[in-house]
Amino acid sequence: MDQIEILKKLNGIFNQVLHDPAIVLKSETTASDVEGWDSLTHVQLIFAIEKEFKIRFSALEIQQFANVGDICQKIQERQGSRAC
Amino acid sequence: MLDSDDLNMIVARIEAKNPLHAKKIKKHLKTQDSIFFERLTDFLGAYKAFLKKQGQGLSDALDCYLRLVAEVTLDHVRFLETGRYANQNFEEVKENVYDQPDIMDSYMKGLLLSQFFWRQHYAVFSFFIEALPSFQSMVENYLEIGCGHGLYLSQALKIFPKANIDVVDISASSLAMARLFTLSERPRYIQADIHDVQESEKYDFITLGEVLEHVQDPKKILAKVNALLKPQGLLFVTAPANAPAKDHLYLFHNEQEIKDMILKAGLNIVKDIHVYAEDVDSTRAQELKVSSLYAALAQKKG
Repeated sequence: MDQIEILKKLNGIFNQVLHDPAIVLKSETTASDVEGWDSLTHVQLIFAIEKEFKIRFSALEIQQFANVGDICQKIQERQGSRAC
Repeated sequence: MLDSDDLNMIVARIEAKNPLHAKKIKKHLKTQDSIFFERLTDFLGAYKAFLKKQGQGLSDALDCYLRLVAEVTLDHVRFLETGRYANQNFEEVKENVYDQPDIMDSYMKGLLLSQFFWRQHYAVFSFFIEALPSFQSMVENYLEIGCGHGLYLSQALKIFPKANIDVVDISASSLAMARLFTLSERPRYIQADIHDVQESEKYDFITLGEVLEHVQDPKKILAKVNALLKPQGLLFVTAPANAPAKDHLYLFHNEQEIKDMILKAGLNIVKDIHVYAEDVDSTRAQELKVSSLYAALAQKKG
């Protein structure tokens, strides 16, 4: 799956979980940029991302996600494709 | 309100390693009053002394704390998938957690910090230290079951300066840590399964903090507690709902299930408190299965 496709899917997950169709993600987007992306919704987001991409993150990986690009990169590592 | 170097360092380190959690911590700190910061200052003084004895500092403890936060986050994701706790067997948890000194050491050090930085933990800690002093004159014999890190024990030692204090924990690591944290040899530290403790001793007050979820049959523990209490003796009991962790076995789905179990054990609830781990209303919290902590001061019928 290429970077555009992953980012598009991630965007859809964020729109759905955060109930905000206006969210537009970029690689450098952080939790500070997105209203509602907090510790509560992060759990919901990780749950939805793992389900969508059929992958599993480790505890350390979840802790270290600083922006959307980090999540994207980890998904790609799991799927063996290019970086965002 | 971030007026101490230690607190600034703590927040900065959390920010660097887990920005999302830092967001939560900052929001939590903004809602606290001066009493919180006084208590936190006292706690950090004791905590740093405790760490120093082990050749460590706050930054080491923060690594433990951040590890705990990450583990709990992942445990919650898995909980949302399955609707159950990962562990079902006490002996496995004992072998993999309670009997592993390194794991327990990191876990307890992280949990100590959570007592001030997790909204549900701090609310219940406040409830404890504000409720106990009114029973000072009636408590001669005090028991804590499952002392963990020793923070509650340290408060009980201050609030009940003349009481005989017993502490029972299944983990040698926890007992050692509580001893080191409280710096007190006044309690009798007993490594045992509570069910093996003889019922000849009757206590005026028992503290059972976050123990019920660690066993397969919490009703049995409450029955034991009831047997150990004097008539009209008091129990301070806490238990979380929807709170997966590496050593949690019994899943309470909501606070009502905890209350019902306490009442069925033959205790009256004198006062109680229920706090969600996130600052959301109860409808959303239940919908999203947000962890919560329930605490009650209960009295044996007599």
